[in-house]
Formats: sequence, C-alpha cells, structure tokens
Amino acid sequence: MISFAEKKYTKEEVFKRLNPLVKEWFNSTFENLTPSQSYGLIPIFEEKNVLISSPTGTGKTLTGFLSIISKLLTLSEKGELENRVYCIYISPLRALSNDIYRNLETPLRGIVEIAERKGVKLQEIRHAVRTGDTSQYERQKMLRKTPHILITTPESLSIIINAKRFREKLKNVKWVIVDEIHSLCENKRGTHLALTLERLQNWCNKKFVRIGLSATIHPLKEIAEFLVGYENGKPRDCLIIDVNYIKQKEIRVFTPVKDLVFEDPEKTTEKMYEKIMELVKRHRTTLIFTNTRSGTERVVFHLKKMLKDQIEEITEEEVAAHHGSLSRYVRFDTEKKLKEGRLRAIVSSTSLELGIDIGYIDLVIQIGSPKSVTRCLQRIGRSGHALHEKTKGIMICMDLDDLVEVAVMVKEAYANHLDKTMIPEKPLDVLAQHILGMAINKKWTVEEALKLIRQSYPYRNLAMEELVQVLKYLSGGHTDFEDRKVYGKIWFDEEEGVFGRRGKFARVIYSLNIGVIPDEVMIKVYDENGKYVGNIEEEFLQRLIKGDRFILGGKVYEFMSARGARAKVKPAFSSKPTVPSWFSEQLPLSFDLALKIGEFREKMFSFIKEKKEKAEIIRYIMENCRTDENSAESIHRYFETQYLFLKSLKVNCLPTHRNILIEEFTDEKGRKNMVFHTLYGRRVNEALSRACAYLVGEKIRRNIGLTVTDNGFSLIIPGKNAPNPLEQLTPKNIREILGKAIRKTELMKRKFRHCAVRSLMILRNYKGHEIRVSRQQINANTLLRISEEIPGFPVLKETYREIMEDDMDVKNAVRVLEKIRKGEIKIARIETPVPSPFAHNIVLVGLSDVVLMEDRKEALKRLYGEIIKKIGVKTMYKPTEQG
Amino acid sequence: MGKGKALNRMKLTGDIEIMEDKNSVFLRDIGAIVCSDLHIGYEQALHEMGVTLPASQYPLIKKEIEETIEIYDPDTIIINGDLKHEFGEATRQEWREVLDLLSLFSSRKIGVKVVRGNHDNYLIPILKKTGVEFHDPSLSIGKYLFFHGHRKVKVENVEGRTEIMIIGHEHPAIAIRDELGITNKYKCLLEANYKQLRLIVLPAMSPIMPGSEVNFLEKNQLLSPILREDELELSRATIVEGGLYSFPFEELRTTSRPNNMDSFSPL
Repeated sequence: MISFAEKKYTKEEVFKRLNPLVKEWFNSTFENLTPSQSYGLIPIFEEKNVLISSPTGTGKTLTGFLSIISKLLTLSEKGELENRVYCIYISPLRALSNDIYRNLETPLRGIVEIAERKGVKLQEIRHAVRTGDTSQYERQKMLRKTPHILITTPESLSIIINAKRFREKLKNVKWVIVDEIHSLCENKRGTHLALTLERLQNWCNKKFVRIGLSATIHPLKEIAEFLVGYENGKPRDCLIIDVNYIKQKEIRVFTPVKDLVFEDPEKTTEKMYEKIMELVKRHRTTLIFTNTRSGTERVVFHLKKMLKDQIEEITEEEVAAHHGSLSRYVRFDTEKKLKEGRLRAIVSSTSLELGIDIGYIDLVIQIGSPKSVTRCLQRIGRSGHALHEKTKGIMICMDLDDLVEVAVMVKEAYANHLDKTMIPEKPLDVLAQHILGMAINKKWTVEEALKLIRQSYPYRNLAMEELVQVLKYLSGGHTDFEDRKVYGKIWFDEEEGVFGRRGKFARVIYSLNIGVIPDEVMIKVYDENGKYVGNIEEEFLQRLIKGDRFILGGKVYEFMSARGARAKVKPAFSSKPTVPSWFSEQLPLSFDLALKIGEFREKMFSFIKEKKEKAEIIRYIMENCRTDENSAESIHRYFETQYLFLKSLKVNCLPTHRNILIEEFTDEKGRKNMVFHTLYGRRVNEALSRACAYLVGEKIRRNIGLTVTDNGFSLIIPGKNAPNPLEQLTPKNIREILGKAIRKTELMKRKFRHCAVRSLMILRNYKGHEIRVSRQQINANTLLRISEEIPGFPVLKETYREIMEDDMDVKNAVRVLEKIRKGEIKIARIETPVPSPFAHNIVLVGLSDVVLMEDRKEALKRLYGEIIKKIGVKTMYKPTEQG
Repeated sequence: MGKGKALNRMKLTGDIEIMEDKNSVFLRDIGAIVCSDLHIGYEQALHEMGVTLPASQYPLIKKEIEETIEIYDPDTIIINGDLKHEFGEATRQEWREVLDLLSLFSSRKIGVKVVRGNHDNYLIPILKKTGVEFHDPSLSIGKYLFFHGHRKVKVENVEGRTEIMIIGHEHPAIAIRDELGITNKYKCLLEANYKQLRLIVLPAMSPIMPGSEVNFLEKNQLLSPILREDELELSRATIVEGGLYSFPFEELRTTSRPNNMDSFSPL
C-alpha cells in the first residue's frame, strides 16, 4: 500500500533507536532534526520503502543516509561488515555523485573521529563512485575492496548489473537510494532506471529497501509507485513523506516598462538589466534563471559589460554562467566559487535546477516564464537554503503572453496548485535495450521475463504480444531464417517461448550502446564576429543550404557556412525565416496551468465587460498575482485591446479555455491563415495542429504549414478556401488522423532516428569505433520506408507513441475534443482584416512544422510548370507516352 | 505504378531511351541496357557499421531489371560499375544475390558485360566463376564509351570514334525546395557536354543508397573527377522518379534555391 507518513518522531525517539555514535555526531553538528528527518529516519531504520519530497536544503539527503550509516556502523562495530555492496545511491548527474561523495564523507569521518576518541574499534565503512569515467584500474580495485556504499548513475548501474564479476557483489544489496527522482521519472532515463531496478531485484537474494528523494512534485502517489514498482499487479508498499510546505515563500512579478508593446525594445532590455543589477547589489548572491542557454550567455555578457563600464562595488569576476555546454573544468570552478560565496550573480538555464549544493543564495530571478508552477517553485526554492529562511523570487517578463502566464503561475503557486507530472508508458525502445542485457545474463522463458518487466511501474501494463514483437525484432525475426545469425542480436525460439544470448559481440554492444539520451550531435552556431549564438542539431544543419534563414533563440539568422561542429550565420533579424525550425529550446506550458490561464482570461474579460473601474482591476491583479504596477497595467491594457478589437468586429466569442476562437485572414501572398486560440498548452496544441493540418491538406491536396505556441496554433494554407478541421476531428478519430499526419512531418523522421538508436537498430558504438558515418550512410526517410514494410515493427510503434504521448499530449487533446462534442467548449470562426492582439505571438513565431499532404509527383509537376512558363516550352524535351 | 499502366518513355540524344521509374537507359542501336550502382550487399556493409536494416534491397532491384528487360528485350546488359557494395571480402548474402542476378540474365540469353567500379574489388572471383566479361577501366562499343566515373579515363584514344560517354558513380539527384521550406529529393539522369562529346550520368539503381543533390552542390563538390573539369558543362537533368521531367540544369540551380524563394511567414 502507498500511504502518507503521519507519525512525526521526536529527537529522543529517533536516537533511542539509532547507533549511539550517530547520535553523538549528530548532536555535535546539528541542533535539531529537520522535518524530513523526524518523519523519515525511523521508517528507513525499520526498512520500509520511503519517498521523501521536500524543497532543497531541508536535509533529505542526510535523512536518506543516516539510518543506513547507523546500521552499517553497528555491523562494523561487531566486525561483521562483509566485502560487498550494502547500499546503492543513484543520482542522475555525475557531478552530483561527486557532491554527495563529499556529503557522505563528512558524517562518516565525523563518526570515525568520535569512535577513535572513545576507543571504539571500527571496520572501515567504504564508499566509492562508479560512473562511465571510472578507470579499469579502479574497477578492479572495487572487486578486491568493495565499497559498502556504491554511488553511481542510472546508466552505469544498468551496466554494472551485467558486469560478470562485480554483479556478484550486489547479490545482497539492502538499500537503494534514488536521488532527484522527480527529474528522472518524467523521461526515458527514468523508464530505463525502473527496469534496471527490477532486474537488480530479480538478481538479489532478498528484497531491498527503496528510498526516493524528490523535489516538489505532483502527484506523489504515482512517483512512489514508480519508485517501488509492482508485485502481482499491485504497487509494493511505500511511505510518502511530504514536507513541501514548510518553507515560506515570497514571489513578485516585475515588468521593466509601462508598455511592452510600444516601448522601444532596446529600452525595455536596458531597464531589465538595470533592475537585475539593482537586485544583485541588494542581495548577497543572486541566482538568475533563463529559459535557454543562449539566453544565459546573453545575460552574463550584458551584466559583465555593465560592470566594466562603471565603477561598481561588484567586479566582473563575480558574475558567472552555468550550463551544460560549458566544459567540466569551467563548471566545477564556478560551482566551487559559488559554494565559497565568491559570486554575486550566477546565471543558469536548467543545470542549477538540480540539487547540486550551491551554497548561499538569497534571491532567485527568473527571466521569462518557467512554464509550470512546479518548475517555478523548484527554481524559486533554490534560494534561502537554510531551513528557516524564506525563499524569495522575482519573475521578470518581457512579453505580454509570458506576463499573463507568469502572473497566473504565481497566483497558483501561492495556492499550491502543482502541475501533474507525466510518466512515459512502456517505451519499447528502452525495453529492447534491457532485453539484450537480460539475454546476455541467462536463458529466459518469455513468461518469466514478462513477469519481471511488469514489476516496473512504466511496464506494469505491458502485453505479452508487445514483448514478443520486441523479441522478434531483436532476434532478426524480420529477415530470412539463415540471415538471423548475422542480423540477430539475441536468440529467440518463438515456439518454445525462450530467448537468450547470441553472438560474441552482444556484451560489447550492450555496454557501449546503453542509455537513452538521443545521439544528438550539437553544432555550435556563431555569428560573423565569432560570437556564440546558440546550438543546432547536426541533422538540422545537414539540410541547411547557404542563404537559408531560420530562427535560433527567438531571432532570425541567415546560414552562411559550416565547418566541423561549427556553423556560421549572420543576423537577419528583420527578415523572415525560410525553413521551419523543428527544434525548440522552449519548455512547453503545462495543460493544467493553461486551464488556469483560461479562468484568469474569463475573469479579466468579465471585469472589462462589466465596466469595472480600471483601478480596481489593477488592484485585483497586483494583489492576486503579486505583480508590480507596470505588469498590472500591461495585463489590463492587453485584455482591453483584445476585447475592443473583437467588439469592433461584433464578435462575442472571447478566447478562453471554454471558447475556441478561430481567426482567419489572408496574408500578403494570398494564403489563408487560420489562427486557433486553443488555450490548452503547447503539447495539446502540437497534437491538435497536426491533425487539423492533415484534415485541411487532405481536402485541398497541398502542403500545410503550421505554427504552434502555448496559447494556440495557426495553419498556413495555400489557397482561399478551407473547411474548419475542428468540426471533423472527434475524440474517436484523432489518434488515427494524428498518426497519419505525423508520418508526413519532419518531426517523424528525426524522432524515428532517435528511437532507432535507442532500440539498437542503429548502434552508436560498434566493434570499437564510434559511428558517426551511419548518419550519412542512409537517410531517415529510407529507414522509415523499409521499416514500414514490417507489420508490428516495435521501433516504428515506439516512435509514434513517443511523439503522440510524450512530445504531444494526445490524452488531453481527446479530453478537449470530448468537451467540444458536449458543447462545454464553444467554437467561433471569424474573418479579421489583421490578426487580433492575442494572435500576434502565434502569427509571428515562424513555422514549426509542415504536414506534407502534396504528392511528391504533384510538387514536381508544379515546379516543372513554373519553369516551363518562365523559359518557354520549346527548349524542353517532351516525354511521349508509349505502350 | 500499377500493372498494365503505360509508362512514359523519352528519347535523349541519338538512340538513347529512358523510361519512367527505371534507373537504366536503353541503347537501341546496339540493343543494350545500361545501368549502374546496384550496390548489392549494402545492408551487410551497413550492419558491419552498426546499422541493422530490416529488409533487403535486392528483390526491388531484381524486379526493376525484370520489368526493364520485359519492355526492351535487349541482347546485352552493361553494368557500369558498383554491381556490389562491399569494401571488404564478399559475404554470403552478396554471393547469393549476385549469382541470382547473373542467372536471371543467362536464363534469358542476355549477354552481360561488367565495367569495374570502385566497390567491385572482390567481384572478380565471382565473375570468373560464371564466365562474365569484366572490363577495367572502360568498355568501348561503337560510338559509346562506358566507364564507372570514379577515375578519369583517357577519352581521345578510343580510335577517335567515341561520341557519347556513359558513367555512374555520382548517384545524381535533384533537390527541390517548396515554398514551405520542405526539400524533396528525386533521382535523376544528367546530360553534359564535354569538348565535342556528350556525357551521360546514370542514376543509381540501389533503392537505399543516398543520392547527391547535384543542383545544390558547387562543381568542385561533385564526386566524379570528370564532372569537375572546366570543359564540362552540365546541360540537362531528367528526373526519372514518378514521371519523366527534363530541366535545363542551370534553371534548377537557381529556381529551387532558398534565396530565390519567397519566405513563408505570414506577416
């Protein structure tokens, strides 16, 4: 059973049970137990599965370790510690493992000192880090002198459980700690780990205790199930310790200028930096979050420039950037400075969201919207590290949609309404990797394998049929029987229902190709002056030709040339992009928050309709959303303009979550633009937009361009007339239509390659050499075409699932369509001379994707026609029709 | 294309004919089909590099050749290089497929001449075994000179009778950008003038090997040395996929490039 902890233990109650040396060390270091400790220490001591969720800096890591140390200490006193692993600590970050190493070492050393002073004889309690960086020598050493506490990453653990000799050391593991579980469960890394844990459990003699550590997240029950897994179709027991609401928070929304639309953008930016600088000066250390890496670079650049130009009490060296693209050396150096309190401002994109101990932060500034209440709280929660201090955050907005979003987000944060985390359901590519790993270790019956796999939460509903498809695929079942020896990665006898290892390369393939992070080679983009602009994927680069214009970090650049892993561009800010940017650095707005924004829109519109005093509306916004006056003014003006615009067209349908407004206008090239105000978050809009594009394209047989944002989407339709696709889309047919639409997009080709790599169809590393050639050797289109010939091919199936369920949110799209059917959501279609204010961001963003509905032949014929018209028919040869 | 549907055919220069959806040419005056770049065994080479392809390209190649033979009823088939893919030694699958293809020709009493390509190193034993003619580096029949194209061949010394050269190797394709920024790629046949001679570049027969987008490449980026020569001038490209479409080559270089395309953003 999954249950919430109710019993809070006093310090006396706790230390009556724990080893006296632990008690002594604790008392010499701390005054009191933190809430997570008083709830958690005893249940962990009693060997219960526990999930602890609390903001950073509330002592949860120590909670995880302390009871374990206590038990190991007792064994060590008796001289009963064996040469094997007792506890595995898993962290998603390599850097974090190093950090914990230090945090674990401190209590252990402290205890040893106390013991020595008292003359207590102790066996050494060993701990060690094992990751991909661990040398062969160190690994050998771990066999002889095995760490009692093993610190590792999810990927390394999946390799360790296949390591011939070392896995013997894991036979009697007693505790497994999964740190930062919130950052794992929502993606395939977590799925991968869930299976690794069940395989480890299967290998172990006894059930081990699972301890999960998480930041603020929702819903905790599901995360707990993810941690502990299933047995006989039911979740294993777990005790949830939720200590999220112990820290006080203070969040404010700030807009640099009175009017975000008409104020000169340069001035807006200048004012923003002035404000940031002022805040930095008033605080000891400020952590600034941007939403993109390029944004991080820009902010650091500007702050340093400001410090250079004037004599300030802060120096340039006291401002630094921290993100994943920086070299390890630079990152470590920055972290060190931060911990030592030598930085006044640190700017980051996502890398500091995770639990690296970052020392003393007294203010968090967030530039732009973090897109979900949960992430907002996680980021703001990085300030006020000590338990009793308030967390303090300033949200700065530079764009009207962002501003409305953040205002509502802050309102919801104060109400503790968290967004729901989504856990991927049974990805078949991750499963393929583990099946290879399982096959290497022994011979399995299909039933016994299915039972094991279903014990992990993501695969609890896996069907036998799905497993068999994966087994067939891995065993080369799609090729001629005699070729299976060559192409099969495992051996599988379908009739007998058994599978096992095949070939001498299986072990090498497994250890070199495991992992779920897509094989994305990032190309750094620089402008003509050598200034870093951002990253693009290698695959995107491959399709660029000189003169192409594309959006990067919100700005338009023209592609000039590329060399190795560097691309050169020049700014083309005033021009429009010529190729769709199918990569997005932006985080999607959550469905839950989008609905809340819808409610807020309803409220604002009704205020304006009822002719409520402006001052009153402004006061409402400032009080409820904790904004400054500039922000409130801007929000009010934004809604008022939208209202008046629609009123002038005699339109009553105001775009909210319960009203979908469709605006249509003809652009300067005579194409129809249909803007859909669907306020359901980007992942739902991704799904709706593609399905709609497909339906329109099917009618008019032309390619349909589309743009997707958090607040809506638009279709760019060649030609004048188009049906309303939302009328034909139903909760029943959307999956099928979306599937067909996805097949015709650029996104599909790219995702298919990722899944092919994760499914080991394309190996990243084989027979000792890293494979980059494979990219050039065969194009994704061909791979796709060939794969489609095979019925039930799991790689293809997984690609569709990942796109529809992880990247898009087809489940909530179905919900929206159901509400449309029931009349709970209304639709209105209008013609407008120009796009309405709310439509501006949707129209301006540039194409996100194209649904290719035109036959390749048709496209060719059209071009042929154009060229013939241009140069005259006479010079061309004419094909003749013959029998 | 469905059964019984008439396929478009077209005459190039002189007696050379091409047909919709077929990657070979027919030389009516000497009764020969010419094709190139079959790359049999490419899947195994990919597998060696860690890419496991589920299906084989050979059935597709065989089907296309059978259909072509059916229509033209040739006396001879000239395979102008890269019959087989492999860089290393021939694998079992390749043996099987190459032998199967050769037996197809012998059962129909069609003579086979193979010109050496850059991938054909290990081919010689197979051909020897079956008594197939192997020409290295080139083959001259009447006014035609066949060579694969990976190396330059001296043209002048073929008794002064050569008028038309036919090569492969390049895997030419035409890329076309539409107004939404989407690129489609089509296999094509290229025609060029070289001094007083005509040159034809055949499309690749392999259905899975990638093609090079010749209209997006600069001259010095082309694969075959002869195509990079100053005196060589590409005159025409004919798309053979999904129909027959001839384009003056220069027109393709300009029309389908982004600088000349309208942007798609609506505002």
